[in-house]
Amino acid sequence: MIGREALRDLRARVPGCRGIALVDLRRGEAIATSCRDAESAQALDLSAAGALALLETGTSCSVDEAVVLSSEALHLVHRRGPSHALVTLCLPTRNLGGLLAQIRAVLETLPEGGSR
Amino acid sequence: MRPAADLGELPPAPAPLAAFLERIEEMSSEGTGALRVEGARSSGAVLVEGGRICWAVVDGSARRLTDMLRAQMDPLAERGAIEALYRSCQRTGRPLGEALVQEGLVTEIGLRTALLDHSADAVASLSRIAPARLSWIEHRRRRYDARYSFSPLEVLAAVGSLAAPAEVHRALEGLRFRLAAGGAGVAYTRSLGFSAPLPLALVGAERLRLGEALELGRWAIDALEVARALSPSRDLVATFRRTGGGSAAWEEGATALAATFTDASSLAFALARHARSRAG
Repeated sequence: MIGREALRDLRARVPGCRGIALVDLRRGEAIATSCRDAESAQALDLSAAGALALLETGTSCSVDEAVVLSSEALHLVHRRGPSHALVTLCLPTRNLGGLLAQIRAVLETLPEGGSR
Repeated sequence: MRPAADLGELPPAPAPLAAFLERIEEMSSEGTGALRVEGARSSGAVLVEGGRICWAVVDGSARRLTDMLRAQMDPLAERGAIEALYRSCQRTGRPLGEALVQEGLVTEIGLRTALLDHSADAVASLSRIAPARLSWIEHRRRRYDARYSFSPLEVLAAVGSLAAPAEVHRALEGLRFRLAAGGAGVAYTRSLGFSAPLPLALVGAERLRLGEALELGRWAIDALEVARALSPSRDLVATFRRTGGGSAAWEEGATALAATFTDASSLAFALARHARSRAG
């Protein structure tokens, strides 16, 4: 049960978070989004489109989470059941491990499953 | 010595080298022996023990080892001194490698490097013989020093390092820095125009099978391509498995680097080190 309100709350709790979206993996589209600005929304749309490929590219093992690091942003794709994922877009940081731990701690407070 | 067993023909291109080495890796239960490769114009053999390569030679090109040994010597020994020692070893039956190390002409690491380079060069040449007829000649006694035998993946990486030597040092530095807390890492060159990534450096990857390393390379290339669509300046991709551990891929120029981790903490360590190195 993750709606826009819940996403806005999540974004406020993750340091440096520019946007967060609940994604339908099969369609590659964001179902619900909370973003700081239009640029972040565009970046989240790209993440949504590539989320399934990132989680399933060339792997025979079940992947829970994928991280893409660039000089401008950190993309985190966190699987939520078989057909959904939460995509988080954050500012890059030197303390990558700390940021990932904080994001995971916030995501763990969410109920299982996709969106209402 | 038993009569040679006919093993059929080598698989065709596009990846004859990897296919040849995978064939050797599959021979881990065959014990010790010589895999003979016979072509119309050239031939040779790979001495194999438990799926590891102890020595490889293309018939008629034995002198190359002397050059490779001299490249590892500091100070440089005269070619004549090595050849005299070789003749002495032939007379007495003493292993040449042991003699070189004991005489102080080369270190153990230097000898290992020269033997690996020599076998890699020979295996690469043998894999290009087409069509080739393979046969296996079993040796009854275990004869090879385990310190100087190599996994097929090590040999493939040595072929890559000989083909793209300029990429090796930086790749090793990058892998060692990120994998200080664990993980198996492989660097792949993409500068040679091969359709598949060719390993050129290994760190902590002794237990990886050749097929696993090639699969890791394919995943790295694909994942980096997918990530480029998300962010053109993407720098690293990592995946975390539900069962613990995961994989990471990044690039240094034309080299793609990838590592696999059996626990989440060593992967997190590698990511933190990567972020730190990029931040300067």
